[in-house]
Amino acid sequence: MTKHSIKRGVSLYSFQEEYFLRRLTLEQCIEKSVSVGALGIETIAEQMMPGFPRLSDDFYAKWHGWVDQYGFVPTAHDMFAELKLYKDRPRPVDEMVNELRLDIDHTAKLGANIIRILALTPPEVVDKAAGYAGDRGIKLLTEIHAPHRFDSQWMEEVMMVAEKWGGEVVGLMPDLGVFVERLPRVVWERALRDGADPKFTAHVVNVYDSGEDTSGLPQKAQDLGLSPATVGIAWAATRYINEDPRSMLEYMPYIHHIQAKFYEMVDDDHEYSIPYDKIVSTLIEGGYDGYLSSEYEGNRHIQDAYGVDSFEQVRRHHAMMAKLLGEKDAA
Amino acid sequence: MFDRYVLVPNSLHNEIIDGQVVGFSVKVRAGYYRGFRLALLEDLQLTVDGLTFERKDLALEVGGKPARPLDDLETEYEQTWDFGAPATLHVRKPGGLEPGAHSVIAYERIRVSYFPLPAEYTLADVQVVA
Repeated sequence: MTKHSIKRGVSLYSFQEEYFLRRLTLEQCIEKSVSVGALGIETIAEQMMPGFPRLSDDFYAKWHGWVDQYGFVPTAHDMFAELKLYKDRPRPVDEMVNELRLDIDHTAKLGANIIRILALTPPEVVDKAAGYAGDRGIKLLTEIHAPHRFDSQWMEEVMMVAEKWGGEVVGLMPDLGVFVERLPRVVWERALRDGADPKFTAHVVNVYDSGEDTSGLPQKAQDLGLSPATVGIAWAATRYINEDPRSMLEYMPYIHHIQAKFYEMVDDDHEYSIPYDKIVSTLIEGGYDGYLSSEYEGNRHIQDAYGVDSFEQVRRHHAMMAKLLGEKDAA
Repeated sequence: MFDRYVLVPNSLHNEIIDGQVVGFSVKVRAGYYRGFRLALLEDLQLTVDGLTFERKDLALEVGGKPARPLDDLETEYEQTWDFGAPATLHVRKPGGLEPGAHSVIAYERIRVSYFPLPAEYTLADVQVVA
């Protein structure tokens, strides 16, 4: 295997079900991640750090105690630009810039050096905060998230700001949910449990999985007078996209972190819908040297019928990634 | 995303003030996957035994702060409703609910920055008043 410096991590987004139900604390989420060799920890303050953006010094002291105790590396902080805070008017850019500065301060206090910029954050906001971030050694990486594609108008605007500041300050964070080859099984199985028409659902899956255009499916379901759940799965199929993993290669100088989205690990080797083998080999070829940060997003699709075990899903995900990365101890 | 956990089980109680049953309360959680500022809560509705209460009769108690009418929360740009944190929904209904089992439906609508439509969460449940 070609030599590489790709590292494994977890976004604690993966454990949202357990945290929501207060079955795991923030510290326990960290402990679980480290136990599967995920040594880079990405966090969502608004999920697991109540009080953000005004966290106490005590909180940060406790955090650094955990860094020492568990031996992990704080990687990224996920920010949310609250574009729709006001019901009756758009959010002024300057307000969002000021909030992004709070995100930058928080990230620095965590000892991380990357911020996930939410898709649809105006590139102007990133531009106006980039100097502040650069001075503090923080990178602002806009997520490339379905349904937004690599070659979109949106991306062009993001890249203009990235090119202005240089890839060490402003860049990109692909979410592997842009590489969905097969419609996630957990998604259409849920639709069936919710009462979607099986025949039309099969049609939706076939259209998506064969790479055909899905945009007409919701209208078609409506015209046929099918149930809301059927229209729902047709609509869902328009929100997933299947880009070529090799499309990342031309952006490599701007990519410093990856949200390794997954919906269902069927065993220790396969994710049902995303071609991790192709993705990892592309990243190695491109000389990527950041983290693959697991982002489990299956819980919401199975929680109606099954017990959610995010940890087992993350464990399998790391077993797979360790093998694909050629780690010595990987079974 | 967390629709099925919107209502906290076994949390329906009549509320008594100065010896009078003034209404009832139930504990609710936001279905969204992160904490958010209360101004983003566009609507919260409660239906008990088929009757949907009027918005003016609802007040939400979040994070240990005093309960406030939903209209007041529309301009609350600081205080957050934390992820997974139960809040108490107070409902004005003189006399309260009869003892026994009731059908309870909670509905929430939250503005989401990156999505064309607001997020909606609904849960139908049965809860028992002691």
